[in-house]
Amino acid sequence: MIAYLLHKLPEAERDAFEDRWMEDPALYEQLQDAEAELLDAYAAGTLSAEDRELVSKHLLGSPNQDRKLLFARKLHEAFPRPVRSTDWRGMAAAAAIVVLAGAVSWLGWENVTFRNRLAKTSGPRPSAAKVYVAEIPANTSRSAASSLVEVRLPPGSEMLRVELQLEAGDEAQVFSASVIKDGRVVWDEQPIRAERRPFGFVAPVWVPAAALGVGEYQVKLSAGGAMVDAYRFRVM
Amino acid sequence: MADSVDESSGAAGRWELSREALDFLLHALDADRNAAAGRYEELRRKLIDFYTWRNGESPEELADETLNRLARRLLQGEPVEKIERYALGIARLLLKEAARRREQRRMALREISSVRPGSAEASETFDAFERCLEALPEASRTLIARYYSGDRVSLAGELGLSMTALRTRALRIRKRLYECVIGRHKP
Repeated sequence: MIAYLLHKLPEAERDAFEDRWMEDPALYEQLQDAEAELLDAYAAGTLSAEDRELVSKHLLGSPNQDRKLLFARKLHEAFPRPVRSTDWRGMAAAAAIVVLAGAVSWLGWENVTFRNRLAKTSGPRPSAAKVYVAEIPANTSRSAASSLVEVRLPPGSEMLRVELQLEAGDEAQVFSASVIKDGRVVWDEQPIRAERRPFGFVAPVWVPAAALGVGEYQVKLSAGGAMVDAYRFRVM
Repeated sequence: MADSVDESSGAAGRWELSREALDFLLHALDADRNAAAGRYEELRRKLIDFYTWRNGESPEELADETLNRLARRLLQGEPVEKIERYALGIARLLLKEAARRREQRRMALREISSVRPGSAEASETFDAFERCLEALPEASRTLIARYYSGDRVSLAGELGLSMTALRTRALRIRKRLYECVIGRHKP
């Protein structure tokens, strides 16, 4: 089923499978479940890079599908998974370590939605984990290399949350972001919605630490097919 | 068979669904009118998913066009044994037509980047998430919370369910929640 949804089946097998699921309600339901789980994994960031790209290409892009992904993201935010050494899902809800604009101040951060959710449901409390959050000011695309935000991922970090500051008026849009190193996209994410901060709005982009190495990165933020802004940071 | 159907779907020559043709289609789906309406919706949803999973542009429009063509063929006296299979044949044909039109458009316009509509609408829709979650029965809310955020093996053990049964139950609740959020059903 996953192979069908990700367009990995040869044409003949694909057609034969379609003949089956179209006439078999149980199989159709299983296929819908498989799609839901794929989108859940996409929202949680647990897919391989290849499958992530295939989901973006084949399962996303229409309003109906974007709605499904938004739902999966909402579900993931409300019920993040506990973090294990090989599983970085659930980071969105866990306690985080924040460094602001390359400065050295460290602040605690906790996901309010998750806290509220925990208060309303019984069950085991997910364990906390460290997420490194770097806040990148707007208009850094032309900054001098010496003034770039420097990101030093602490040992054990599994996720970098890049918070891209938005210009006033941009916050209502739904964004997509590409993280680029040496002209190559190392990570992309969509849809992204603005989040309010005391100073304005940011577009949060979650990047697995495993996708990052030492060097300079550019993040291109787009909405509706047009580029909104570009940001730069350096991983030390 | 549907693959031999040759109909124009161009705007000028589009065939509109008549009441009579719709009645033919509903009757072919089920003799009972209410049951037929349910099967119609189910078939439409399947067709939307088919087009979505096959990267068809505007899956809802294509699904409706498929049903229109199906109704037309039935009205014209086409013998249809398996209605889903026949609809799938029409759908594949429409998908090819849509791909051909897209290619013609691409050549003509040299590919203008497309704007994805509906994002604002989608974000409004999702304001309903909290409300729908709260409206779920307590047991369902707890199960889905623990399924997504907790240890699934322990949860299955506590509930006396196999992992497969737990997954099925959680996904049914997820589906109900989604349908509530998009306004298809109450929780």
